[in-house]
Amino acid sequence: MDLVSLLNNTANGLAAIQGRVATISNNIANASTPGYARQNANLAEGIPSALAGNRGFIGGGVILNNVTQSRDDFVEAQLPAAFSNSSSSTAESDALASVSTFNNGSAGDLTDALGTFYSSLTALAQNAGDSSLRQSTAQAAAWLAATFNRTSVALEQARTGTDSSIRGLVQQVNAALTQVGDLNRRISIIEASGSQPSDLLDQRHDLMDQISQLIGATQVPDAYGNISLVLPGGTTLLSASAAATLTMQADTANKGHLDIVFAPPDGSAPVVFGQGDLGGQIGGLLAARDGALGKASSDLDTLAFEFARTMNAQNRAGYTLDGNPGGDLFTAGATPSDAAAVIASNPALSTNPALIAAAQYANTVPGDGSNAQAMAATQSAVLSNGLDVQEGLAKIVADFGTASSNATDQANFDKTVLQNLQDSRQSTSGVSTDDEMVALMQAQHAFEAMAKVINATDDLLQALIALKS
Amino acid sequence: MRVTEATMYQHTIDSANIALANEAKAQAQVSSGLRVQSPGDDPQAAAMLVRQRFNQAQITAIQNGTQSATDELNAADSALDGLNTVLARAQVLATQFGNDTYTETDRDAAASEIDGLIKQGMANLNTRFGSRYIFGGNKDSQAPFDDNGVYRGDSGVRQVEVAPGVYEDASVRADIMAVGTGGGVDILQTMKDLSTALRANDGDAIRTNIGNLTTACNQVSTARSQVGTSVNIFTSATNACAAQVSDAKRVIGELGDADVMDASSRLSLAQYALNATLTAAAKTLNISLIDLLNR
Repeated sequence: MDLVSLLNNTANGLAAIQGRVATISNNIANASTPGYARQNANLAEGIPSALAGNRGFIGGGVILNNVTQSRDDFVEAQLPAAFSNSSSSTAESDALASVSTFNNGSAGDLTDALGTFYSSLTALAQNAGDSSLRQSTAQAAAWLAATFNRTSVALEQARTGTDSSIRGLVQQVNAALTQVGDLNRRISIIEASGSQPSDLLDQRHDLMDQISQLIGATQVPDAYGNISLVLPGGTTLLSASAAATLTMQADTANKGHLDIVFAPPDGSAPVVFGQGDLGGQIGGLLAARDGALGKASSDLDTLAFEFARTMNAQNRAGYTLDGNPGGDLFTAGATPSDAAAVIASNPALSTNPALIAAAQYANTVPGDGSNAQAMAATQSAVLSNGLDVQEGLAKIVADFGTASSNATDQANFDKTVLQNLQDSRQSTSGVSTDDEMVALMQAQHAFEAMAKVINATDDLLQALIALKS
Repeated sequence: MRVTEATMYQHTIDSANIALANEAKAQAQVSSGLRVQSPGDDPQAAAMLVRQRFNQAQITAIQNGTQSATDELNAADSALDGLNTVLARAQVLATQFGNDTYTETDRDAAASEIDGLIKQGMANLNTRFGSRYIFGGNKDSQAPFDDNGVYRGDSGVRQVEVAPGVYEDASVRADIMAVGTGGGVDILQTMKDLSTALRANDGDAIRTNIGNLTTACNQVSTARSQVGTSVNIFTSATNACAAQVSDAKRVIGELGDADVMDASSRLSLAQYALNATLTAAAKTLNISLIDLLNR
């Protein structure tokens, strides 16, 4: 090997080291960039020169072979589901935890209002002709109806709140799907030329993480560098660059709450997603809205309807203070649907509490409180749901509490799984500035050593030139 | 495992969040005094709390009723005691002036006293407790005996709940006790008859009323005995209710209230954990090769 070739080798080495330093610099700069995977500048030996007479080879220095990303496919394959599960259970848990209407110690809650109403009937039964007791029973009835209304509104407001959140999240999903479709197209073109578009891959990874968190889609790669996104229910959200669009529409059968409608990219008929079709934050919010909150709201409607029906039937069985047959004490609609929201005490009661049919017979007024006693006793009567009022309310609270507690436990578990996987991802793909500093020092020393080689080669060349002169 | 700064930062954030959440929960328990704040804290206890609060309200209502019934029966007993005194005096007068040695003038004076006793007896029988006349049966909004002593009430008996679904009579049937329905005597009519007999100076008629007055006294005594029995039942029920309410409060406290010592300990522990987390983070995140290279 001549001295000029030696200089060339060294120059190639300097270029390779510069590439390595540039990669280190990029790693450090992107240490906290979401989706960024640590890059490696992979060095390789240069092509050696053969010595004459089969005496071996002289090395050809170093070249920058390629720059690759550090990603652990085993971990990456598990992360979308982990993101989906954690976001889903956390969203459900947070949504349920924000509902305080069944909290213990809330003075004036449904337990209080029911207790006060039945107590007022017990007191009235003892002195059915007492106008002040009748007035307080009428007020207790109005307060109870208002408490049913408030509890129902609180549950429905929580459900409506999830609708608002879901609307914003669906817009984010649509925007992210369009971006991933575009990235799929650009990545497949570049990868077809044999290169690895690290920055685009990072962006796509970050977007896919977001989509997994938003709606629980998992990724399916194809042979052309595209990533398809599939929902837990099996629906393909994105295939190559063809992204579906999600819209929302009110569901009249679900108190006007919003359904998510899937418009396939091929233009076929839109499909309304059902519960279980979606994961991630949206799936968790839907689970809270139509699961525990929906059940509590519906059970409350049934309780209000059955309570009103039973109380009205008993009041109709008795006689008012004027000796007339009793009428309805409450109105709650014709079916249980929305009963808790619309239940109201008979408005005439407030001005004419004599309408409470406390007496059993027309000729036993005013002192007979037998029917008021029977009305008070309905608190132990088994309703159509197989439970009495007390047990019905206790079951609503228990069911809601169990759902909330389970969601919290699940969220904690999912968070731990996700954290472990994210640690594993960071272990492979994360940037450690300490690592990079060591690598930088190594490159710096290599660079300095090569500069020495150039210096020495230059001295040798100078010596040769001096010999000739 | 290779650990990066991002991992350590994320762990610090996660640990601090957990420690802060634990601290907030413990702090809320200490400040509110409640262990079960939302149903999710302990679903079964939350459901039990609904049952116990419901139960407490029901038993309290029953207790108020039995207490009120006791008070009313005591008022009835006082009225019956007054009536008994009236009848005893009437018996004395009937026995005394049944003796034919008394003159018409003497008997006329006795008749005047009997008329006064009739008024007293009517006042006792028209006793009010609160807004209701206690001897009127279901017709309790007007005086059960009119000015002529005619009964305007009915045979209604008020029943009061002494335990959920268990009822006990809480009023006296004045139609039996005072009017004599079912084989007794009409107390006021008997006294009126006595007065008439005294004014008529009719010794036989006066003596006839002595037996009727004895029957009347027996009627009142029987009613008082029933009242006494009922008062005992209602007093026992009131005491039993008080014990049940106390039990319900205790159970509510056990289920839902925070153990202050335990909650305070957990608050201290959470604060200690948060402090440890932040201290550890401050120390570990400070160590970097960059810092050492700069020295």
